[in-house]
Amino acid sequence: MSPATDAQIPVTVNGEDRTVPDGYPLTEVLRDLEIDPADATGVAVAINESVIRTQDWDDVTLSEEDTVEVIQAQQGG
Amino acid sequence: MADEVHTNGSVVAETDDRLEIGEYTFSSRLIVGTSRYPNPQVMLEALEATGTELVTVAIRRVNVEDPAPESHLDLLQKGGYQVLPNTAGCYTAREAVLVARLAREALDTDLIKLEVIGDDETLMPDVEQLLKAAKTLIDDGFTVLAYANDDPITCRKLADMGCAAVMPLGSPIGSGMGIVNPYNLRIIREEVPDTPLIVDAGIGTASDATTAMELGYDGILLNTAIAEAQHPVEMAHAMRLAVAAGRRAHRAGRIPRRLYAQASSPTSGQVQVDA
Repeated sequence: MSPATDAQIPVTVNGEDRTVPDGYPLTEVLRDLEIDPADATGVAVAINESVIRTQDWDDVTLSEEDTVEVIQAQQGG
Repeated sequence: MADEVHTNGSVVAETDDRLEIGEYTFSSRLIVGTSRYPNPQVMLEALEATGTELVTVAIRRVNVEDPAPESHLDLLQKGGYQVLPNTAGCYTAREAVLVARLAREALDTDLIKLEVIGDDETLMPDVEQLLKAAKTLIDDGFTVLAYANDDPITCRKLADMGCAAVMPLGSPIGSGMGIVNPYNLRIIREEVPDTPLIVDAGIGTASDATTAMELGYDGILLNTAIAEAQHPVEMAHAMRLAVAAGRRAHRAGRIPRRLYAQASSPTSGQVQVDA
């Protein structure tokens, strides 16, 4: 995990452009979406089209131009 | 399959007539969607009335503007249902593969209902992308239930590459048009004798489900026909009975169609009055 710095980096979260501090923790991205990383039933995350295993969430930080997808199961047919 | 033989000699398919999809076994031949119900309570009552064990869910981005909408996943899991995530809304193999992998992580299941659609108007599968996605997901260890056109060639290709179930449409998704091409479905059954076939999409009412089962299909996947019925729980009951009736009729073997009448009553000894 790289330490957070004052530098801001562009990322995309669920299709929306955002600016976050360099080294922004993935768990903070989840909290921004009002998801508790410790109790996130039916939620999964991919960064740059690679799925991040739930047990690895704590170890992941964002890098410049990362594309993050945070999904959850919903009612569907 | 060990049938129950009644004392009068009749043979009846009984509870060991199970639907096998990959490593999974189900006593119900109905797979039911969880969308469009008037409210969660009606959804739960309807699901129970169908007798289903396998219910579909969608995978969607958590909405940044409106975070953490209620998923009702907890209700489904409490109800003991096996969840079947779908890739609805995916237009490319790349999107579908990513959604399937996310679903596997989110729901801890290798089951995936693979949908790769070509456009919003028809919601018809994009066959090129569908086949590509299916191959990738099968190689990745998924149990793939592939939503397909009612095209015998596509369905055979999906079965041959190792899909656990192939699911041709009866008619467009949500249309309620029923089984619009029973002849194609029949050919698909003949072309794909050993892979479970499920009619997915287009079922409008109970007789549509029965028709599909009479054609020798292994199961039915539906959502809107129950969820948007005037009385969803009542329709759920009807669908359960319809699938069971169609299954039994298929196993019983229907009589051939004849162009001309054939009297049921004895053709000799009729009373005749001279003109």
